[in-house]
Amino acid sequence: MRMNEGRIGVTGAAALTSAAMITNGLFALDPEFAYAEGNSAYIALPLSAIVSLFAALALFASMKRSNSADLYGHLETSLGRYGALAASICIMAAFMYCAAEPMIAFLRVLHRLVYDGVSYASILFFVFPMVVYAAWKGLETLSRSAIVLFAVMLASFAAAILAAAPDLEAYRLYPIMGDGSGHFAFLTAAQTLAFLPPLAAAAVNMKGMNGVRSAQKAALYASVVSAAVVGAAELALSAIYPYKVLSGLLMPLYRINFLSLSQSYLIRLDKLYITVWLGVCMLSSAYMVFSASHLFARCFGQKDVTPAAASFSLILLGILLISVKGGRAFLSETHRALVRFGWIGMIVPVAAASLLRPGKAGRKA
Amino acid sequence: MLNGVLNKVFRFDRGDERYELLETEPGEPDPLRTRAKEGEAPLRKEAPFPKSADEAYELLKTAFRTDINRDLVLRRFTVGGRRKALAVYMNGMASDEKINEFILKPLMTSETTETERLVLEVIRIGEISPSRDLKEIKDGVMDGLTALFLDGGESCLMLETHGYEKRSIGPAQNEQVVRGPKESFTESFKTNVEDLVVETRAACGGNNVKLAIVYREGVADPSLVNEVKRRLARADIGAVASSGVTEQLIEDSGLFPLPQILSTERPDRAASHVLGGRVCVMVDGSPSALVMPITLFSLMNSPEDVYMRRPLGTVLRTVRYTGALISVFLPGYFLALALYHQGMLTTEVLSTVMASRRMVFEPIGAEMLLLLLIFQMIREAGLRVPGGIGQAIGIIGGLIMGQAAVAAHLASSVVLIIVAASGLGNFCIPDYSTQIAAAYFRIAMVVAAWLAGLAGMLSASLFALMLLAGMKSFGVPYLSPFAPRTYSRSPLILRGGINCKNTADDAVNARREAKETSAE
Repeated sequence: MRMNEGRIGVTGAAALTSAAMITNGLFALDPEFAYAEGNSAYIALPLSAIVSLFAALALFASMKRSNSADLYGHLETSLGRYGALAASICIMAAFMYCAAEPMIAFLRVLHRLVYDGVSYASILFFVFPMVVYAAWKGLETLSRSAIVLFAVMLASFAAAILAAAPDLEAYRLYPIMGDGSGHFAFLTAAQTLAFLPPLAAAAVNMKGMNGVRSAQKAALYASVVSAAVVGAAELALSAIYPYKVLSGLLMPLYRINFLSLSQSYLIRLDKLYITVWLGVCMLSSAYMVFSASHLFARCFGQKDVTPAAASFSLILLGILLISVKGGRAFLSETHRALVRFGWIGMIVPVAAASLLRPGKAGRKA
Repeated sequence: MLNGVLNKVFRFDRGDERYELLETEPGEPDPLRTRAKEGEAPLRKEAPFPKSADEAYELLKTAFRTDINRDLVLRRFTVGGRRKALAVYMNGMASDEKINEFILKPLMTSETTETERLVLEVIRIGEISPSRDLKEIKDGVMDGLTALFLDGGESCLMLETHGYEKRSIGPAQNEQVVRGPKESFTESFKTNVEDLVVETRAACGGNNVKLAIVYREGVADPSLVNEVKRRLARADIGAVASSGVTEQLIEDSGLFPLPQILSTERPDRAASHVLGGRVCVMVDGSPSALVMPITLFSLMNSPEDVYMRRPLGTVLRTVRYTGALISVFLPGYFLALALYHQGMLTTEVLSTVMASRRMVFEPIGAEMLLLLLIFQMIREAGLRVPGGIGQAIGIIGGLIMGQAAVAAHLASSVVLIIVAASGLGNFCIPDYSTQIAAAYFRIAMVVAAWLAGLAGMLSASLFALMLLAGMKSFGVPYLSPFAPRTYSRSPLILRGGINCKNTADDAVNARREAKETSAE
């Protein structure tokens, strides 16, 4: 067996999960959808993280009851062989979405704003191998790297928000809940696609996290920290730019200091910030690829996770290249649909696994 | 060959056979828990005081591990031919002359066997004190006293027989401190530490070099000690000539640039690690000891940190880490900014850089690499040439050559300053091997920055981080106690108080009886 799980503690698991949740929450956010009807993202996103936490806790409680070693084992006892396979495919797809979406956003920012006009392929040439390497190295390396990078990322967020403090204006938060509570609820539900997969990844890698109790704890800490960080960052953004401006920006967080410090030297740190955030994003993508590979290996009884990791890395490369180079209408339509309704594909298998009682095999276990 | 590579990368059905130490513990503390619960590991029970000399012999044989601890002498004899007795002392720590002339000889020929009269009339030693505490007796023996057990005696007599030889000790050459002990390893590793085990053995191979494995029994994890012994036994190449060779034979990865075993010439540093539960290996003929396992933070610590007061120690460490970061990242960062992200530099800085590079013919990346290479050459030359000439080379290379290079437009003054600052930062790293490894990372950063600016540096840094995160030294993660977190928080960047150190180093699974202060 070579599943590259090792053993990681609660801190490592929480840092890894949290890094993935924050990356997905902040950088995979579609501004057009999030700020379509007002500034509600700073409430909707943390709320979405908490909703995802509750869904994950229900899943963990159910796993505890079925005494399963990991998510696939639990799916099999709850949904049967074919049900587990179908649910696993949905979850793997969600993992790959979470691996690709923030990377696409970063590639676009690097292409347009950091390396003026440099081709996507050139940027990918430097960025992508590290994602593959991290996914190949496995959970231990990922979690330890996440502890180090997470601390740097928090420091960069704190610095960016503090630097923007003189320009925060409360009136820009209007309309507080958006123009209607319908969109607010829709955004909250849709964003579970950003927050729930990292929590489900904790369930997939539960064995490496020393069991369900540690995974549960890690999920709890990660969700609380992510909700706080995402909420603070979105609140600061909303207090700097009106929502109509935000909806047209490419990765709004990148511009957090542009308005307030346009004449200061600190504005020049934006590229440093984005480098740090990109590092966390690469780690998060690698974690998602590793989790998808791990789930795949469990589904098909493979004893080595590395071939699956190599395959999923290639799939990710394909998604990235098609997405950034595409420009076809059906691609953007598919993306729009995924952003708005992709969460259903994630929440249904998780809900089914949480609510359905384990079958005979599960009860015996 | 291709098959071999493919097999190594995609090896099915084969487990990772690396020795793991941390994983024998149930995970790591969670983020909100900083201290272990009291009494998590059981304390050892003390044996009752022996009633006869034979009983004492058996007890001490086990307690001192005489099968591997060859320096202990357990001398059985009879007092006046009638009462059995046992003298216990440590060879090399106690004076043979005192024991023979003033204890054994008078006791063997004594007419009386009564304990009180023996003390008053027969034993010709200045200081004699009774003791029933086995721990105290062991401490005394390790310190050079002789313990005398008499058949039927209610207590043991501790006789003052100190007599270890003191050789002249030279100062440490490579690990200098302002405060704290100056001596370096020149003599055998004798210390007055409870439960210290010194196992001596011949190194594998034909050259008959002796090794000493030093650890603290009851504190060092037995599986760690066994792993060290296993690796030493495996190193059968017949060429163990020095500690440097031994280090390469038993380390985890030969290709990883950073050292996985600490090589120190300071006895206090080695002793503090042994106290904390690590294992030390000394090779006959080498003036340095090898300490294992180690982490990145151990390599960044100087023995001096703990001799300084807490705020000063913390400031020193912070400066050292800043220096190391500057050393690794500054040249690459500057290059990335100058080549790809000019917007991050102010107009003044940018115009200064441009002005200083006006007549320089080579690209800035090549200039940076050239100067870094020259810096390494000066350093190497300074080390190799004898005494004062080495210093002169440093001055000539640093000042005169630098000045001449700028005047000849071979290098720009800004790049020269960046390389000098990075070199200065490199010297802040206390460990020599780590300094050289930092130079590798620095070059990698410069190349990555030259190729792709900050994104290149990010990829190189992430690669380095993952190498560090995935590395283990004798089963201990290289970034512990930070990643993964352990209960004992030292050594880290901020120096803790002395009182905070009364916990065993759980990164190496040390037992919780370790109450002494560790000098990290």
